[in-house]
Amino acid sequence: MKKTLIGLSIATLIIVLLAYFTGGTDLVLDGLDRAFGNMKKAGFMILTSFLLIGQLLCIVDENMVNRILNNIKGLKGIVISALVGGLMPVGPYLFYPFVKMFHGHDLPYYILIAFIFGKYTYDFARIPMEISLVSPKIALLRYLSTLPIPIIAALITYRLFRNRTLSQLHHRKTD
Amino acid sequence: MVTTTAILTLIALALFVFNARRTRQQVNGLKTGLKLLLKNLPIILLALILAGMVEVLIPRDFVQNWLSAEAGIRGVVIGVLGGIMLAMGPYATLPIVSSIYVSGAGIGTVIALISSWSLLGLSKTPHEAAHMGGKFVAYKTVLGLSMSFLAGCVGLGLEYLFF
Repeated sequence: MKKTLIGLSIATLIIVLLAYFTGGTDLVLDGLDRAFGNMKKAGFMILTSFLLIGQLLCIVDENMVNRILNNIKGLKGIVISALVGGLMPVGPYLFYPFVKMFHGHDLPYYILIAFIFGKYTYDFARIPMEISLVSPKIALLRYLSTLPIPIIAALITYRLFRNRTLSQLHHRKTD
Repeated sequence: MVTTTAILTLIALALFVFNARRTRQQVNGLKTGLKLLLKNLPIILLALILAGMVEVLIPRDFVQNWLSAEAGIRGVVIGVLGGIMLAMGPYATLPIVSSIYVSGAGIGTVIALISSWSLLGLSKTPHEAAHMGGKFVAYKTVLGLSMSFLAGCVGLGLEYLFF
C-alpha cells in the first residue's frame, strides 16, 4: 500500500511537471479542473461502492469457498469455481496463500485455473468501482466480453492436462 | 450517473438487510467499507489527479491512430501490453483507464487494457511466483495474454456492431 502511494505520488508529480513544461500553468489547472470534476461526479458513487464492498466481505469467507471447491468437477465445476473465484474479495497477497492451500488436495488443475481466472476476470467486488470510476457502459461491455474467459481458459487447461492436480504437475507426474 | 448511484445504493441496502438477517454482521460491514475507503482515499485522489493530467496531456493524434476503434487490432494489442504495465490496484488503475477512454480510445482497447491488467498486471507476479512457482506463472501468462487479446477483439466486434 505504502509502495503504491509512493509510486503514484512520484508518477503524479512527474506528469504534473510534464503538463507544466508542455502547456504551462493553464494546462496544469485544466488537468486539475478535470480531476476535481470527476471527483465531484463520482464522489457519492465511490462511497456507496465501498459500503457495498464492506457488506459483501461479510457474506463471503474462505471456509465457504474451500467447502464449495472441494466438491466439484466437470463443466459444472468449471462454472461454479469461476463464479466462486469472482466472489473472493481479497487482494493477491491473501489470494495466493489461500490458493496454495489446495496443493495437497485432489483439486484438478483446470478447476484451479477456472477459480483463478474467475477471481481476476469477474471480481464482483470490483464491479461498483468499475462503474463509478470508469463508466457503466464500459463495465457492462467489459463483463460481457470477458464472461466466457475463465471457462475457455479452464477448458483449454482440461484439454492439456486432463485431471492432473497442481501438485502432480509441479512434481512432473502423469496420471 | 444518478441512476447508477441509485442502483448501487439499493444493492448495498439489500446486502445490509441480508447481513442483518443472516450473519448479523451488517454494522461490521459498514465499518469495513468505511475503513477500506479511508485506507484507499489517498490513492483514489492521487489517481484521479493523475488521470485528469493524462486526459489533458495525451495527444489526440496518438489516441486516434493507436488506441481508437479505427486502430483496430493494433489498439487491442497496445491495450493488452499497457494493461500488464499498470502494476497498481483498482483504485489507482481504473481512473487512468477512464482518462484513456475519455480521450477517445476504442472500447476494444479499453476492454483489452482492463482484462490484461486484471489477469496479468505486474503487481501480481511476485505473489504468484512466490506461492505457485515459475511454471504456473509462465502457463498463466500465456493463457492470460491470449484471453485478454480475445476479450479485446470481442469488445472491438461489439463496438463495430453496436456503436
